[in-house]
Amino acid sequence: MTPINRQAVDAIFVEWAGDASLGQVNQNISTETALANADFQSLLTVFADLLRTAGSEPRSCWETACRRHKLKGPQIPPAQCPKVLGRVKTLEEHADAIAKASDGALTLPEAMGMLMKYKGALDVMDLETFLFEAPLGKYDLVWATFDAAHPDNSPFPSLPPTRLGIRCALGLGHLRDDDSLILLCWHHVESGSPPLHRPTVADAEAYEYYQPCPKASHPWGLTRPLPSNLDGISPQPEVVMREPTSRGLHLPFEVI
Amino acid sequence: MTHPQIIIWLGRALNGQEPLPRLTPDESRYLGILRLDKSLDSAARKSLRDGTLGLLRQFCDHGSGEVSYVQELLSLASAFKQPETPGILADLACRFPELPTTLHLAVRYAVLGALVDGSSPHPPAFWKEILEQEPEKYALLALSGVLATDPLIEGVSLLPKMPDSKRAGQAAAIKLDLVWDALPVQSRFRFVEQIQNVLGQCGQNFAGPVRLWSEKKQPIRVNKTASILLSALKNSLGEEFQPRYRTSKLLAA
Repeated sequence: MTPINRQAVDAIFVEWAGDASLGQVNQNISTETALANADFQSLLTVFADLLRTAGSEPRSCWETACRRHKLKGPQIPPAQCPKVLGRVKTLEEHADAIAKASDGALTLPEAMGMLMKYKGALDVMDLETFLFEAPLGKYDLVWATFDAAHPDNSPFPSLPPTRLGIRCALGLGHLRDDDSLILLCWHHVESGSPPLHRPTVADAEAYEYYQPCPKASHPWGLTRPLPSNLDGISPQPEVVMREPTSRGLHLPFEVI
Repeated sequence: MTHPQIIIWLGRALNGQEPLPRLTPDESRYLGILRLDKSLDSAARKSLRDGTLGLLRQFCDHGSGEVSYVQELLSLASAFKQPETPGILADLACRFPELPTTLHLAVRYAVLGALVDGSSPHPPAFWKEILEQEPEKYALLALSGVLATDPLIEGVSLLPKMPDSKRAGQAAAIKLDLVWDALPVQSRFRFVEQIQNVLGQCGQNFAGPVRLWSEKKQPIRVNKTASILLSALKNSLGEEFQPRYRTSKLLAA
């Protein structure tokens, strides 16, 4: 990095250190272990260039730099990939995804009503067509977890069965009292086997609930259970991937 | 923040340029704004609603905008349920034919979806006009709109106008199932019967999934038939139908 770029970046990191949300991002950048040196240098250089030239706010510059360095964490060798992956979203988020993917066939409340009706059911009737068309994530990148001890099984039976417990274990962010969560799991191969990567600070952008796994050699990331971890839940495996198809989605899905 | 500042902030937030309280990194922006809204005082919440309405008017005046931004805006406006929103969106929906290329189909679906979910439902006549604009594309959202106000008569009468595809039939079956759940128990059988009566006028591919759904609702009819048969049997057998009790010998002794 040139001295001018370094100066620009250092000044922002000092500024962010006092911010509740960006302070964590700042800390994550200094503890990042999964990015190769060249990618890490490139990420900071692009960030610095944008800071000096784009005229945008530092946060936007950081996010833009991150978007150019997605999925740069080490790839898990295909033979070591878990067979089943899982993720958690709000019920409304997934109903919205179903409604949008249905191309004018269903509305959000209709999708939400059917998800509530068929939670825990193996036969979801006509919803199946629309469920298997909906993307599992948004913005092309999906974060997922798995059960490292039983990689052929759903990760959820080994997690706490409550909304707050799951949120704590997976280190998820903000939750309203009236947010319902949907637990989705899918077969990796049947969903197209997108390469699984260890997450990096670039994948997380400015998401303050992410924390890099401290071990540089660890094959995948680990979640950061929330500080209110009264049950002493262990960090859970964490990977990122390009949007898989939903063809491998497992039934039943659960709503809590 | 002043009103113009809120408009600018909202536009940036809906475009993913402002920090929002999100559950996951890939969560929709409007859900983050709704979460934020819960933590604000009443004046700030009103400003947020006014700002959303301002952006909605801007979009509807021009009928153009980046798809993901407009989808987020419409979802937010829908969630805020401002009384002015349905009127603004209905006006735009009526102007769809004048905006042939500038308004992406996904945005049109989002507008119609927001109208279906709106706080003040539009009458069946409105939805029939929407259906006439693009029958193949808007039929299922028009069906949702009509089912929301008059499922038993107007809703059922719209079924023969649905596109003749299995997928459309599956979507219709989902809608009918949700309506059936919400109907008073005494109206459900009539609803299913009326649907079965019009299926002959529908395309075969469409009718298949709807027929399958309606047949699954048949146990109610079977139960009714069974109870009629049971009472006829009772009348015919008289005393023979009564259960026979064994008297305990111990009790007799």
